[in-house]
Amino acid sequence: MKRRILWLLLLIQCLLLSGCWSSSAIEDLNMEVGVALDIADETEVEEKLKAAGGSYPQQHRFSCTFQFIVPQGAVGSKKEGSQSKNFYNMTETGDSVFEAVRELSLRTNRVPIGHHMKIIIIGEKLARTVTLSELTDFFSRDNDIRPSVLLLVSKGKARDVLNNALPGQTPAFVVEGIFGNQNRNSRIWQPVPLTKVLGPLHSKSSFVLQNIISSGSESKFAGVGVIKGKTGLLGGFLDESQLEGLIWLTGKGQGGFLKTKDPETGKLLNYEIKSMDSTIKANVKDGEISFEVKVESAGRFAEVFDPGGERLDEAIIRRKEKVLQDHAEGLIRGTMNQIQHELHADVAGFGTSLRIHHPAIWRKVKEDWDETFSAIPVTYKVKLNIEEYGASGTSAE
Amino acid sequence: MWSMIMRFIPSWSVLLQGGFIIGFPILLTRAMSWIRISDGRLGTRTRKASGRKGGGVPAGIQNGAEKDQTHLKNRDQGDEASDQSQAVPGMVYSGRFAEDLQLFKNISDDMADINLRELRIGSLQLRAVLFFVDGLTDKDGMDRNILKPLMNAVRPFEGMNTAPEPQALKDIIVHQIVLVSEIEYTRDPVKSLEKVLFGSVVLLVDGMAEVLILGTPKGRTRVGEEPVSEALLRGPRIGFNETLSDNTAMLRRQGQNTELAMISFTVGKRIQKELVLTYIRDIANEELVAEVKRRIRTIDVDDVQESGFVEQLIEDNFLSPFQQIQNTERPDRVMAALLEGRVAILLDGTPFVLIMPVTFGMLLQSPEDYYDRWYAGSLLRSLRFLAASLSLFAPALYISFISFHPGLIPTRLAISIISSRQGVPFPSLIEALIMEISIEILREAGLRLPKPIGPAMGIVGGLIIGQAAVEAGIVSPILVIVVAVTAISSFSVPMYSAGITMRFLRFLAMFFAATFGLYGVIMFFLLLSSHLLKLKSFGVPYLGMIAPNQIRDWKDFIIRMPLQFLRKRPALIKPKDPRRKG
Amino acid sequence: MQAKLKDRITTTEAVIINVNYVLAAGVLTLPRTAVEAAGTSDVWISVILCGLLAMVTGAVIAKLSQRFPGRTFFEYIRFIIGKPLGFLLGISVAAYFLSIASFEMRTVQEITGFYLLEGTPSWAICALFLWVALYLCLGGINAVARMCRLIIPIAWGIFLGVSLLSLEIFDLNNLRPVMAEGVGPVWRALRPTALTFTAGESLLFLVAFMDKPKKVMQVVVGGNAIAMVFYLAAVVLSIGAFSTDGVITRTWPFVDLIRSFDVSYLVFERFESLLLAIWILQIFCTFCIAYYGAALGVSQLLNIKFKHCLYGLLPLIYIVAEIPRSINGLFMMGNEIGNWALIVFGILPLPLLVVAYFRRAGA
Repeated sequence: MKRRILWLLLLIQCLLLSGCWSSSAIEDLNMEVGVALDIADETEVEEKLKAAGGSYPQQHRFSCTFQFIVPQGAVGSKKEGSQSKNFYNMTETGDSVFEAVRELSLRTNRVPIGHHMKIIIIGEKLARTVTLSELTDFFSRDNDIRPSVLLLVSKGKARDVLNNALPGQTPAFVVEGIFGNQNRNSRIWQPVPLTKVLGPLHSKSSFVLQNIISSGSESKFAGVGVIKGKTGLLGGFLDESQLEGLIWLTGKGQGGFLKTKDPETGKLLNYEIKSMDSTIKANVKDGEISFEVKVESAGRFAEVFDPGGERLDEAIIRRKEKVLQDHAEGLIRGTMNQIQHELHADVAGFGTSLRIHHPAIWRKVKEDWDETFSAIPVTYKVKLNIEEYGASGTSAE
Repeated sequence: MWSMIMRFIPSWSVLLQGGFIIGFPILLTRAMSWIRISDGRLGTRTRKASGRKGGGVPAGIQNGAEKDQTHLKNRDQGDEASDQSQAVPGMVYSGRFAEDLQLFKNISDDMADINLRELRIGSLQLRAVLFFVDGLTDKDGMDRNILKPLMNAVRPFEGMNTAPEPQALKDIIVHQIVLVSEIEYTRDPVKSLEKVLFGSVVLLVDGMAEVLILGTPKGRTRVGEEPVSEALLRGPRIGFNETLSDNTAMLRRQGQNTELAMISFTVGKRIQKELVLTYIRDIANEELVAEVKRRIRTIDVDDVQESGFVEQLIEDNFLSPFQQIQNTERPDRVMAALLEGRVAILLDGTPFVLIMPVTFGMLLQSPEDYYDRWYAGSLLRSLRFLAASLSLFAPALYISFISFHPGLIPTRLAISIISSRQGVPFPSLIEALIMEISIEILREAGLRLPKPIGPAMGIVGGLIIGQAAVEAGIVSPILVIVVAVTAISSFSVPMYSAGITMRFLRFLAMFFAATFGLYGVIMFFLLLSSHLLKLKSFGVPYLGMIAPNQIRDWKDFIIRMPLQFLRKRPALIKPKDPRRKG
Repeated sequence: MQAKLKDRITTTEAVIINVNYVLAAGVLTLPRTAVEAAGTSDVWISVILCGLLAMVTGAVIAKLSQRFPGRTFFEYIRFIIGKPLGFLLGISVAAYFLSIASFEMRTVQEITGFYLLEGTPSWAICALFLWVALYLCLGGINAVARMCRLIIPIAWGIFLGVSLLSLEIFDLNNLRPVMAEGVGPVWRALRPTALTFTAGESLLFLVAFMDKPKKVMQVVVGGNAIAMVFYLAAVVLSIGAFSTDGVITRTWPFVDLIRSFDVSYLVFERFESLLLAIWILQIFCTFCIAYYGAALGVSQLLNIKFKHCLYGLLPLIYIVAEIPRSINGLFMMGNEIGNWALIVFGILPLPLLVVAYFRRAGA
């Protein structure tokens, strides 16, 4: 009997000792928070390593820059006062993202984990030559990296964006955080997680990604990049005001402002958006498709300059509403011109509207929708409602 | 074709793993059943009680017939005693004073604490002697009510020159002289010795073959103080003490009820103790009472030192880490349990009363829940529930998050954890074990320390060791927080013994977490639930409250509904009268 | 001694067992399989239809079982179609339960191995799962029923919470238009949905344990309706987030749905581990019920002690679970099991009921 218990103990011990298969201590991990993908362009470090003999056969398709968090040391020893950077970037040039990640393991002992990856930034040159599905395949397949990671494009070098941050800040978090300012500025496109890209990429429809540019020391959101459905490549950009038009067109803004000049007085007029909504209606008449865009917005005066400094009565407000409406419509037209005639990409959801309301027609045109879309007439109707003018009841002189 | 079939044939390693998968549980089951069998061989758990071998025999049993006596303060001890004394032949008092005195001295040969006081009764100057034990007997009362009247007795013997007949003498003494309410008679020297040892005074009178047992015991009993282990802010400030009669009286004093049954048993083979089984006759389920009685009779040990012995000897599954019988020092708690249809066991010599059957929910309930408003009661209960789960799972979750699932932690927290853990040399399991074990040692040490030092020790241990360990880089500050929260949480469990169970299981959970991460924690939870689901306390499912047959049992589980809604007793216990009111 | 039939479960417990049996690994994959077949977003209609359909087949099985109160399918089948045929059918049903158990366990192994415990050998994951299940099942149907009941508030509460949080990335446009291509897609999606949604089989032995077998219809309707809500939620939310084109690219669409959003205002930022945790609980319940059914079948058909059957089936389940060599093999296995279920539990009970009626077998 005793022997039996001994066996049992032995068995349990074996189990306990052989355990902890997949455990890895958190402090030994390298937390990836952002990735920048660029066309192959080796960094100094890489070149030096290469010169020393660290190379392997590859076609140099692109450079992956990974942003890692540098732990700030234990709490007790923090008093040294040295404000060191709390991130560092490593670039690896290779043929695939996966290879680049694994190649990093030759350079650092820490295992990269992607659970906390926040952003993927793709450089313009790369996005124009390699399809987005190829670039994101690794990220959408991996079990660490979540589909909630946000995608951006960068006009210029994506790597530079990851270099810029105020001391003590991490670029990846800053970029992610800027998306939270959507209620302050209508020139920010909504954050696009990987989740929302999978569908369009598979169905070959066009969409836009926020563009971020870098000046060398700071980064800025500047318009959007248009990914063409058919090719899966970056087709072009919409600048800031075109993005503003796109926001008005789709009603996806959460706030922000609309600035224009009153043609009568030549003075500035600033309208703060409280809410906006847009409906795109698809009409089919005798096989001819046309769209009707109806935009509605409510808001308030943020700044009103007027020579008279008069009381903002109903008549003035109505007049200024008209001015603002015209301006918004102008923005929308500018955007439409760009996407219909320059880029040939439906990124404003016209196709969705047609699909929902006229599924039969949609089936016929969906193959070559982006081209078809370019020739479709669109009418606009913008309705602004200025609800209030804040604490000051007159315009400023 | 062949390759088609081949694809479905498992490889050798799979077969081997299959063998392992079946082998382990079989081994475990065999080991378990071996333990049970050997317990059955050694102990009396499996033996159906028949009263032999000195097992607990109900004191009220006569000729096999059981008498449920309602426990009255002045029990009919006299009848019982005389019945028994006649049953013992052989060594009896003869009525010859010197012989009898010698006889008593012989049987109490090596008991130095027995005192003798010789005296002469009244005007007749009859020789008599009082036996008593110093310290057990109320000496004041003895002097005043026994010695003085006996010595001064002149009037009862007026007109007598010689001693009257023994019967007449007895009548005179009992009816006219002694001022004591409890009197017994016996001719059995052993019995009289027993009584003396228990605090009574025995009066031996020349010429009388029967001795008088005068009940004047006054043992050193503790006053019913507030129970230490179950402090309450609101509620009666009284707890049971070590005297059985006080305790039963305390229960009686909870309120007038003629249905409160108290059945007395004697347990212990060598040192016999009185044990009282109590329940409310028109509420408690008869099967339950019968089952408890049966199990009490299976108790077969030298000495039942504390009610913990009873608890462990009659519970359903002694291999389970969970206590299946609740112990309490509070009369109000016992009464509440009795009114729910439960049964309680009181043991002489301990303030801890056992309540059975127990359900898991009871371990997290406190009488205060009912005394306070129901919002407060409900919230506190949920809080305790949370605390109990925290104390069970917090370190395990810490280990699994730190070592297996860094993705589940919010990014900023993850960064600060990484920073704080830089330089910690141990894996999280070892780190957690170091801290948990030292906390457990501290706690144990704090219990043993003299009262004035105890709290200081706790502070020294908790603060300084924690701080120093962090400074030294042995553990991370986050872990110190986790361990502290865990320790505090486990104190919020109202039942101390249940808290111990949680403490013990916590370590098991940590091992599961260290091997399988979150999956291991889930599996541990499932294992624990499976065990609890299968566990029964006197036929009542242990987790009955969590997964009740009737939703109404949930009214008094985590949420304590207003008293107005608690119209029925818990259905699980199957009380005779299911309605509390209305 | 055969399985203790003196165990009794209440009607509520029976409903809960039924729901727990139906809700399993399917929720994680159904959005993909259904959309793959249909090609449009109308699959949610198929889910509702399937739920109703399952109620009908469940009702037939219930009626059949009601004719033989206190007896399980394995006991009464021989009264309907004779001993040898009955034995064969009984064995095939028991084997079905066994393979369901294997399938569920393999799914747990795949998901855990991929998302939670990369690197832990699969046999270790399975062993722990199997041992706990064995321990529970040794407690009889009552323990299983109570376990289901215990898990419900935890699992459903978290499921609901996580589903609500996922509304953040929900886009109704992905579900529109409704029935744009007529009933064709709905019809096409019916089959894969039915494969995961076969519900009646647990009634084959559940009815025998019920204390009020008269109320079995409640069990059928209640069980299927509740399960349907969960499947519906999974399908609708997944399509709403990924769109039909995105869903078909995901191996475990529902898990990826939960992985697709971060919440910064709660204790946890991400929920997929939590979801996997509760879904493992849920699958554990399904596994135990199927395991119990298989062991009960073997025990009653071959007259072996129930507990011995539990032990004996344990390695068998593991070996069957390890037969698929890849994830595609696993999905194929799921398909085959579903087909099998469609025949045995969708079609066969009706003739059985008719035969029983004419042969006057049972009450």
